[in-house]
Amino acid sequence: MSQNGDPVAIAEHVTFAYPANRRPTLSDVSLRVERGAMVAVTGPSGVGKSTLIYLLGLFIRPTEGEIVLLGSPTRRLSDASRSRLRATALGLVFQDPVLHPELSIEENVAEGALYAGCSYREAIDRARRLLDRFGIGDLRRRRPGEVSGGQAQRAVLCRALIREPVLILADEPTGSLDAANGTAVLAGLRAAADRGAGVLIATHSQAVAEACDATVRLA
Amino acid sequence: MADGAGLRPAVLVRLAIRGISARPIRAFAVAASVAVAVAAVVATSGRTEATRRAIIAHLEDPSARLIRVVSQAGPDGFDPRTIERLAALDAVEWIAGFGSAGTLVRNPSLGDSTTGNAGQPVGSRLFWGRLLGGPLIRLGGGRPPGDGEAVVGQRAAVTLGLADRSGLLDDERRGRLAAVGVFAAGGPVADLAAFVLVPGRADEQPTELLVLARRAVEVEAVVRLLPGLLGPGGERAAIHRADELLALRSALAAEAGALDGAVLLLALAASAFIVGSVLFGAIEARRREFGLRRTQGATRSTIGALIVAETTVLSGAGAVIGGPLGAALVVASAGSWPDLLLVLAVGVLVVLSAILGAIPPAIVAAVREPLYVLRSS
Repeated sequence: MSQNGDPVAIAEHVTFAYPANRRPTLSDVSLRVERGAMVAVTGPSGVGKSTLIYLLGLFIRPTEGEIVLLGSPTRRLSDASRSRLRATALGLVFQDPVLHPELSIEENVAEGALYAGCSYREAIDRARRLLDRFGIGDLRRRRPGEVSGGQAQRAVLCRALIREPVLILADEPTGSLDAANGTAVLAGLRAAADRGAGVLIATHSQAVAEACDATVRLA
Repeated sequence: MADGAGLRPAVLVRLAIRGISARPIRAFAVAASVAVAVAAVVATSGRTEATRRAIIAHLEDPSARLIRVVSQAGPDGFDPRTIERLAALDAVEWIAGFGSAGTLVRNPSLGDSTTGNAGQPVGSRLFWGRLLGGPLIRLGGGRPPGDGEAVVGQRAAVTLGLADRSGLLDDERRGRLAAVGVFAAGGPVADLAAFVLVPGRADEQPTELLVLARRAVEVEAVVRLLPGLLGPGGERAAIHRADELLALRSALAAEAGALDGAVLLLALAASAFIVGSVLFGAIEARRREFGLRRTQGATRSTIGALIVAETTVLSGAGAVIGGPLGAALVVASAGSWPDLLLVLAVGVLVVLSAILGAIPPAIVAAVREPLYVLRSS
């Protein structure tokens, strides 16, 4: 039985270079995200904060080093296995609220549970409960274009939380939000950590970093 | 939380339908192209099939089943008993024998036959067999003739002025004959309606036999049997049949089949190409959508399956519209409904070709990395 303090994600001496770049974006980076902890990754622009999120989200493979998720190395995992891990264990929050514009807010949130094998009905029910919890239940039938950026970002957070992930990766989650919405999003991430998820936040914000339990500074 | 088994099939279909309704113009383009392809193939094949059926029906017509046997033995003809032997064959529906040379018959009541002023004459022919009971010659009034009697063709009756279908006639060969009935002749023996037919006697011989096979496919078998059943001189008889019609049937059937195949192949290729082109264009516009789905855990095969599912639903809808449309075109142009099995088969084939056309764009969409969405957000 896992409990708070157990590592959910470990980056071991990770180096990564984009094919178009000569110099690696990340070089020999190591970090550890434990259950129940919020970890901030800070550093100037271009230092590789987002790239670290992509690596831990299994979207790219490290040039050197290893990403260990839930105790298992991921370097040799197939694309399908990586997708399944994303569907069941990872939650993603981007700086800009990326949602399907043609779907309603509740359909967007429900999608977060569908690829893990959840039925449509169950996913919609969960989405409604989450939207109510984050104060935007009355917007569930609206399209993303019909709500504010802050409301859309809360919907993105709901989509990340609907599958009850063990690791939440957030890339500048409050970067484009006003103070009230930023606070609401951070509160949601904290609540997820309190329920046992590990949370990694890439941020420029000193306030966000201070709200976390630990900070890893990339230079 | 769910067990991570992946997207459920029912959810896949639901997402596909949701994706279709979100992009009505693309949906219309795919469904319409499939509908047009199905309608075109059903209409073409249906019309061809109707024509083929008409040809086959025509070949079952007596003109295609009639065999004409002409003696080549000078004035001697066939043994009259040959007619009974041939009539006993299962493959023979009707048979009659005729004498070769006609004599002139006049109606003496219209003038003086001795002076040659007895109205317009008509030709007479001797006959053997159950002439008046077959499909080609029917008694239109009166009764079959006996010795010293005759039946008159409808046109001959007009010429001879036999208004009440009976009367006395003067035959150059038999002398005075009693006309006891009028017959109608149709199809390939329609010309007999201009003659007076007189029953042949035992000491006379038919020089021409008309044999009607029961079915067109039995013509060949009857023709093979004839020389052996005709008696002495039978091997020298000239046998005529509707070879041209039979050859025409084969040629038209082969041509129709080739046309069907060409139209079907063209429609299948066109629907696959059109659907593939529409989807390739749509996939460029949906890069962000597919990338986002991948970030949420959709596998490559899920993205591919989603596109194929959308195409299946759309092309299925197109086939449902195109099938009846094509059938209606067949009814309008050929006056008959096409075979339901043909409509179903064409619909299934065109849907399959559309799905085949969707596979390349589905692969392209599936292999795109979701990083695009992440880096552009």
